[in-house]
Amino acid sequence: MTDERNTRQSSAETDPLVTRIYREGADESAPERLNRAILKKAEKAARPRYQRFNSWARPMAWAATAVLSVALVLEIRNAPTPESAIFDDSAGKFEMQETDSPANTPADQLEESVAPATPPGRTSKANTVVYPQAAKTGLTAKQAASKPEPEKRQRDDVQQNRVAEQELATPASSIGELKLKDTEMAVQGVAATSIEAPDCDESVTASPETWLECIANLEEAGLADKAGLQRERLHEAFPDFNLR
Amino acid sequence: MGMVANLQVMTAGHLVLPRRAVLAYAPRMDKAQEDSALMLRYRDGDVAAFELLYKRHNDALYRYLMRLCRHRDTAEDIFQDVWGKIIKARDTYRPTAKFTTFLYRVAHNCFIDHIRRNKRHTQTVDIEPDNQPDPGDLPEMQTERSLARRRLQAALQELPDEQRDVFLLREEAGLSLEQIAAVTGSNRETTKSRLRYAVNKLRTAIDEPVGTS
Repeated sequence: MTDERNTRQSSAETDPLVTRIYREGADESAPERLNRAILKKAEKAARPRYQRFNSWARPMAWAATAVLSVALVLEIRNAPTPESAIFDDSAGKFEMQETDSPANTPADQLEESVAPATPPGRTSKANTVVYPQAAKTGLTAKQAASKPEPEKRQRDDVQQNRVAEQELATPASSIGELKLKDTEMAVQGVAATSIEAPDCDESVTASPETWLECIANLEEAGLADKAGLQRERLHEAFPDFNLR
Repeated sequence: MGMVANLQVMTAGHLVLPRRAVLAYAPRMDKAQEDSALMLRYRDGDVAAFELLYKRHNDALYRYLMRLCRHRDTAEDIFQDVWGKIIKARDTYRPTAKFTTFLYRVAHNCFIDHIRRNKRHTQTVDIEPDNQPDPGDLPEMQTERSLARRRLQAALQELPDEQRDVFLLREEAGLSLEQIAAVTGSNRETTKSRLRYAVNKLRTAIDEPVGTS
């Protein structure tokens, strides 16, 4: 109804002769190449998205999987062992250091390792040395050992100064008591060390030379019993080895 | 029942009848509704529906653009641009208006964009006048008609852009005054006035005595 009214109204603005003559001359049609191009475009656009993406999605997925796998393997290989985690006192957090390079190993740590180095990735309880302060704070020996050396030396100096002052201030009889206390403390330290002293593990016992070195280290550490036991075992394992 | 189905197709927006149902009701639809239904079918991935829609409108749109631009290459560029936009708009297409109105609004906007980008389009006329006589007519009539067509085409090219646009939308797209007003973004009275001026000028050009053109 509305269309009819519109047609009636608009017919007043049109001229039949003009319309007829115009339409006689209006016989052009769109070029075939344009028709083909547009229909091709329409067909391409109507394809489902998954089909459009399917051509490159599969190789992309494979490539992504491969890259992720390689990255994961590298991450696992390069991951630091728990031994290399050291406590940064100034920052108040743990830091990871490479264990392979000796330059990164603290001097105290090198001195305290009685037994030969264990292979990376293995943690040996026997290699740990008890640190009283570390025990209080819950830190491991190596974490405690990794504390800055000047600070530690400073503390030792202060402690020695205090002892010297006490010796000067106290009478001669009590100096003996102090020395006795020091001796007791030293014995306790040795005892603590003996509890946590390193043992000769499998990597060491593989070769008689390294085993013998380990025995010598035990003897130096004052663990004669353990050294003797190890020596017997060495003799059993390598009867032809010349024990000195 | 057919009406109910048509209404569902027209008003539901996202809800589209299955293809078989749309085809079953197709003979009862008028052409405008059918165009919208075809576009909706194309939106759902039916390329054949788009082909049908394209074949219905491609020639008229091409003539509209060629006479509006007066330059064949420009008209072809805009023609491709228009259909490209229609294809892109299929996902967001809503049959709120007649498809022809939608199509020619896109075309009109593309033409306006072209004018803004390229001012020189008005100075170049690159369409050859039609010199082909009708084979069935007498030689005198052929000459007379041919002359009339040439005068009309010449007069059409001389019309201002707005008047030519309105005339072409009326003749090629068959739009009503309201629809033309919607396409050109003007009100109905302005559109009516432009159309009247255009028709009068063309009629005057046709009626000119031979030898004055």
